[in-house]
Amino acid sequence: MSLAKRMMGVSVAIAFALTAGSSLALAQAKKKKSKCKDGETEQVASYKPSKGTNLNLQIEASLTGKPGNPKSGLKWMVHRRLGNCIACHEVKKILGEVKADNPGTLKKYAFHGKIGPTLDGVADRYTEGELRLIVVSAKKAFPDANTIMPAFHANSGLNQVTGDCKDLAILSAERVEDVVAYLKTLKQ
Amino acid sequence: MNGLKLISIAGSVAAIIFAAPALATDGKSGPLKPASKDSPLSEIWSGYHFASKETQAMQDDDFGNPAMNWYDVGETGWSKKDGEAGKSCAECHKVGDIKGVGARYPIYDDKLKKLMNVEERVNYCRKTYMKAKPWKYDSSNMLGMAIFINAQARGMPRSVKIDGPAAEFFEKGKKFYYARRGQLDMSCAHCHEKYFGQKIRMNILSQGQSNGFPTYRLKWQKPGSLHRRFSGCNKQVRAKSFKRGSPEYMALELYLAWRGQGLPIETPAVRN
Ligand code: HEC
Ligand code: HEC
Repeated sequence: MSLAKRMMGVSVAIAFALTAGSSLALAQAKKKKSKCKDGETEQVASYKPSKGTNLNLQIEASLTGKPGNPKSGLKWMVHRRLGNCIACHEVKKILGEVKADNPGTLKKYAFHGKIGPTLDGVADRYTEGELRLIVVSAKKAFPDANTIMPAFHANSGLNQVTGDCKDLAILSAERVEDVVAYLKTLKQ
Repeated sequence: MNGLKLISIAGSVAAIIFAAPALATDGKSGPLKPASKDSPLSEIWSGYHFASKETQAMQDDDFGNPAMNWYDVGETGWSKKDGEAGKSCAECHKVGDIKGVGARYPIYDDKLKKLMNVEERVNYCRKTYMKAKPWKYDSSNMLGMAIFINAQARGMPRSVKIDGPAAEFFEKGKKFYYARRGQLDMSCAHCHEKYFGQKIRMNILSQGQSNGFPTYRLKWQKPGSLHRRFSGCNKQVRAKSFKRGSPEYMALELYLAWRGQGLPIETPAVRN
């Protein structure tokens, strides 16, 4: 949604609250803040998948034309609203970021889920282009799996998305490249 | 509350006498085999099975179960006159008469031509017979009454009817259950059918069964209705949630009850 549309939404809500004449309604209109506010974007890069080696398809070229930054990639992967990859994947290298003398690192880097396969060694199993496609759209990468893994760079074909997140892709093209850059470091 | 405590004491005596095998198929320590061959599950487990030992212990002890405070609200409310008609529930029903309601509901009501769950029934009686205002699903009055009613069915196997006029609602609920939704594009089945028992970040996924509702959630610090839980699970995948009592959630409630057909009612359950 554009900023202008958002602003309009706010003023409509306030106008409604005023006509309702209730301070309660106004308080509620104010309280209802946007949840997709971590840089989710309506800009989705166009890409042409080509034939893959280990998967049927891959996206060979960088979505931005530039290589990503693995350090930022780690940041998106542990972010609870963005990648949150460790909610489902265990990654030994990320567990290695936990420092015994820093409880903050425990909260940030520990507690990995086990819904998907471990990502250790994933760069040995897939080409860079395949990793890119997996992050962009796991549904296209694993067409027969009815996969639970979200498409991180897609903003259409979705059902009943809550107003705050409607038409927004979770990771921008730049952030996808950052994540791919980090995944490329995961060799056995 | 006294009566219920006595029952649970009597229950634990019985458990000691009849020993372990009888407990193995209550969905807590051992799974149930689904009654219908159409069930997508090969084993049925209560959410109790996946909860931490401490949480299980809280549920097991009626004196320690924080939801019993709401049970007391319901028990008191049962005989409290309300509304313009100045009647109470107790003037129309004996507690014994509503014993199995928590296991049988939701039902299709032939006269009203719609699906009724416990909350809708309570509000229907309030409106029609007591001329009283409806209660909101997660108000303490409604939570108390729903806990009081469902707790009378404790230990009874879930047994909802899905044929006849209920079939249409069952199908609608099933469709809802399997539909991907939200920015994360997941269905109920992804989390509660495909991956139950697995860890997703800090949580262990259960089968998302409804036999303990209204359930006391430690995270909420109070009990919550099943429809509140639906709404939470919808929002979690960044999908629109529906109103408590909406046609969508009513149908989902029926379908979900069927997925747990045979599972003993545990209200009020305690969960993380
Ligand atoms: C909700 C769960 C979930 C989340 C969140 C998730 N994944 Fe996945 N992922 C899976 C599952 C499950 C699979 C296996 C494919 C299948 O069976 O669906 C998978 C497969 C993969 C694979 C292929 C692994 C292999 O060895 O075949 C990679 C790489 C991957 N995910 C990376 C990521 C990254 C990077 C993120 C975050 C940006 C992420 N995943 C977020 C569930 C998830
Ligand atoms: C992203 C994963 C996810 C999805 C999708 C999801 N849930 Fe849940 N659900 C959870 C988690 C986590 C819990 C808390 C732990 C548990 O009981 O599984 C939970 C709990 C529940 C419970 C409470 C179980 C109990 O014993 O108290 C019910 C009922 C439930 N979910 C139903 C649903 C329904 C119906 C849907 C679809 C509309 C759904 N869930 C979608 C993750 C999910």
